[in-house]
Amino acid sequence: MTSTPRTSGRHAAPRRHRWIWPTALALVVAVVTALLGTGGTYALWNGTASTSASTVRSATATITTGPLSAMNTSVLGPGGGVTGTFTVRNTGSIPLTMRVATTSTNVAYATNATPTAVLGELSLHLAVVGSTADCRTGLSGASGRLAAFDTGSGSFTLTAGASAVGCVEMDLDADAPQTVAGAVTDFTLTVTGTQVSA
Amino acid sequence: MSRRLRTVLAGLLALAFVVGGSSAAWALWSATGTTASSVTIGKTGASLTGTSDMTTTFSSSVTSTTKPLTLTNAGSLAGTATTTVSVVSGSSTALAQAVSVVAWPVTGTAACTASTSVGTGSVSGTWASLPSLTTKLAAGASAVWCTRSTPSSSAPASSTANVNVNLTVTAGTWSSGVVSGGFYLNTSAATPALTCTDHSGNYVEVAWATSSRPKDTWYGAYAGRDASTMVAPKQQDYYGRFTIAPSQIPASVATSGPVLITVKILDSAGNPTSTVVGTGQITLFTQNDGAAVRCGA
Repeated sequence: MTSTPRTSGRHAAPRRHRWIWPTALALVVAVVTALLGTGGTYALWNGTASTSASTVRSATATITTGPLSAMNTSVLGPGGGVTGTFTVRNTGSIPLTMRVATTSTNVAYATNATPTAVLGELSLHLAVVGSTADCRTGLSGASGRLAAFDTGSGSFTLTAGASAVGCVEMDLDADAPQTVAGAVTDFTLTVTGTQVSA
Repeated sequence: MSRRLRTVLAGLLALAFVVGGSSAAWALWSATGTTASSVTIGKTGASLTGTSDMTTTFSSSVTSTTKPLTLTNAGSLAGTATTTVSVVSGSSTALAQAVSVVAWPVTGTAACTASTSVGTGSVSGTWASLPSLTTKLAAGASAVWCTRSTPSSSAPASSTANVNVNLTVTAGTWSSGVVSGGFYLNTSAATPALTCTDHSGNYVEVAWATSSRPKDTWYGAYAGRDASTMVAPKQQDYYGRFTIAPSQIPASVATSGPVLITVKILDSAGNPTSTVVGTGQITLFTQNDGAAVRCGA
């Protein structure tokens, strides 16, 4: 009977990952160095002096938005438009850049058309005017379909304490189908004032 | 990747983390507010009134009719009202063609009477073909048109024309759809002609056809389109005719030219009834420097 000698023995592990340890060590050193850098420096010299008392206040960013005037006192026909105005005031202490966007819509009494079809025929225009009396159809300004209206940031800027009058014009397309007749559309505009970046 | 390269890369990563992480976190402050409103899309609509009152039976005693027609914008959008007329199939187009129409806008139905003069903005035609009574109307507003219908002498007797007036109000590309109102135009049975006899221009004799009426029935002779002016003494069937001289025709009726003579039955009080027993034409003219009359037109 013969036997084959068992082959045994240990081989040294391959040295494929030997770079990990230096890399980790370098990271640890770098992090420790950075953390040490955040600490104060120390000196033996010391002295004190007082400044006069002062108060530091945080700035505020607030706005108030007035109601949008009734826009259903007259009705929309093909190619027609109605207007309404609202005021927005920067009641904070820093300049704000304004953005106006539609944030909700609701279509009612559309007996022969879907709400989507009604909204697809309505366009909204926004212009900043000097007073409510200056608001009329045909002014230039941001425009878009009602449901997707968004001026984007920077529509206009209000300094602290300043106010503006927004002139909103809603138009019905001249080629709007008669199926949208009688529809009533409620909508909400959201005005966002953002701190003017330095 | 060489060992040296890996070491350098590790160093750079560490440096990037340290430097990048040391910057301050920041954000811009903002505030929001909302505002809302509502818009309403209008509707078109139309309504028509007055047509049913326009039904008329023309006769020798009813030679014209004047009636108001009210066009209403029943929608919520301002628009333009337009009309057409049509004769219902099966009724007499010939009669509708023989009835002339003049229509003009008035301030209200009360301003449309038989004595009202034709106003500005009038349109003319027949009930078979009448130009549009075009009117711009605010939402909910109405316009009244006065119509005066007069059958021509060629209108067929014993006929009926069923006429429809069709109204549409448009606002831009939108239309109310057609709203129709109908009425009837009728003509009575043909009136027998009078028998006329000339007498050298000095006078004429007009005789009515004999009938089964009692001989003592009284008759009157009336002149003009409206047959309202008696022009000769009343007569009975015993005599059976009227003698009419030029001087008996009032200047308010005519001073020259053709004059329509209508013979009607009188009631017990001597007033004319609606029964016409005959019509015919005589003509006033000048002869030997004097007024003369003859039979016919």
